[in-house]
Amino acid sequence: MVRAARRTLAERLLPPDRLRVGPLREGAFTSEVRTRRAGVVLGLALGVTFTVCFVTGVLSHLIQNPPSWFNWPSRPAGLYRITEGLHVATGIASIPLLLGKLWAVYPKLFRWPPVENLAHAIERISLLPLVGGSVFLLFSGVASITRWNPWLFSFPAAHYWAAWITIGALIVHIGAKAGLVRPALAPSSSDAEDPATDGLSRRGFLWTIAGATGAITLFTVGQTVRPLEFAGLLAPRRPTEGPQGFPVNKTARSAGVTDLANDPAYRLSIEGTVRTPLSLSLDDLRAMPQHEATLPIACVDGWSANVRWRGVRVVDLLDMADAPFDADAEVQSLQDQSKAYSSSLLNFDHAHDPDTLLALECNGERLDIDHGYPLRLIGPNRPGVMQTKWVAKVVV
Amino acid sequence: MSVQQEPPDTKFGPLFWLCAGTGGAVMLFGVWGALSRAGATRPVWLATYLVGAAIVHDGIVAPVACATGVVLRRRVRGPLRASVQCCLIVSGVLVLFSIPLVAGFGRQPDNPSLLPGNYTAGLAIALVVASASIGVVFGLARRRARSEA
Repeated sequence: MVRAARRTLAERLLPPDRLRVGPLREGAFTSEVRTRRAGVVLGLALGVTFTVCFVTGVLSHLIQNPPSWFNWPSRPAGLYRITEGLHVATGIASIPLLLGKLWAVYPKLFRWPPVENLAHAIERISLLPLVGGSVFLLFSGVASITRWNPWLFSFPAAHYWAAWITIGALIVHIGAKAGLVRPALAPSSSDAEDPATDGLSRRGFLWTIAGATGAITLFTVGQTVRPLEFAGLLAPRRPTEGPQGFPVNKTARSAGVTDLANDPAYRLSIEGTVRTPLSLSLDDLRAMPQHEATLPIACVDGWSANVRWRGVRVVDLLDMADAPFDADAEVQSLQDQSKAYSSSLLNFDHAHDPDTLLALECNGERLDIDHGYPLRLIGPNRPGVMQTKWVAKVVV
Repeated sequence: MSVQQEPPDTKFGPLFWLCAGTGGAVMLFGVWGALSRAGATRPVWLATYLVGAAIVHDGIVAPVACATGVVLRRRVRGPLRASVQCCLIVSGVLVLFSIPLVAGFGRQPDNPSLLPGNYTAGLAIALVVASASIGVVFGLARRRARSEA
């Protein structure tokens, strides 16, 4: 009785069949290549790339906004270069995977009846943040690495919180679809057979998506993988292109520091909880022991380049100023200090790493003003936006 | 109600409810984060972009891809069709990705190291290289199929 009553209710709630028009008709989508197997294979691939993107993205966020429990080490020196390079490269590789996946499951958008029960409704509703979030994350990521900002929000905040929403929706989706994976991949699955048509075979479709993923990676990854720089036809950056042989993120002009940086009265001050506050001219800094280190500059935009730096060790300056042994240090730029990325924090590890420098030279020349003349911070295993340029102050 | 020929494509067992709970909590954390930093995330804008992204895909990108497929099926017959489909999919992805590069939306006059390439030429070369490689792969596959027959 109850079951019968429920069914009638459900049937009454269902939209009438006369609404079943256009893409909602049965057989509206005819491609034989669109199979459950294709959806599962591409879904698994996206599961891997989205997980890599999410983990490396959250890591980059934690490094730049460290909570008290998080301590990012200064070694290995090239670790951030790898995690952020992976973040951007797997994001780009996800574009053909996502488009292929969405194409494979597109007819399900028009399934009839639209909803069968409560669980099904939850699953379908969670597809909106999943699809919208995935497309938004890839679009905003690509736009951002090409410095196109067609929006009014702050990119890092919007991209970061949208990622949590998307990953949450992905978890719901995995819960609903996990049971499909094994049967769809079984050799006995009917999807494994190919219909006899002139068009792409089912296997051919997946190889095409794999080929597109390979191609877009090959044409972009040279911005961080130096040996592939020659193939970087569509890379937003070339690791050897820029003043003194590597790219510039923000120029002195756009930071508004040209006059201050060229001022002959420039002095570096070390202040805060130090016993001997210092005010040093460029000549004072040049007279100090100089240290050389080859360290990558690794941008959040996913490009990176190895550069030879020369300058004064931060730890030498802290010693000279009698800073407390366990102190962190904030490195401030000549920029307006209310602006984003105008200062960065050196935690204990980074402040005391022998390769963390206030550099005066790079690649054997005096720093170009767009690379931070007169003085810039450079340390191992740090995001480029935390390698503060045009350094004016170290506050302990 | 129509008869389902395929087995149901969603399983709603305990795993689903566990994942729905966990995923729902993660989504709520994301929504809370976006709302609590409203000055940076501009929640109304962000929501518009999230929903808009789904609409642009489902309402424009996917229908265009489907329509292209239908036209291709009618116009291109014979063994050439598979290679043309393959070529259009790969080229479509490369063109879509290249839009901000070719248009140079983000170019900054004082920073020539940003978008340093000639991306129109770069895209053209990439398309030629990809198409040629696809041609070679399909050519070899056809020759092998013929020699096996």
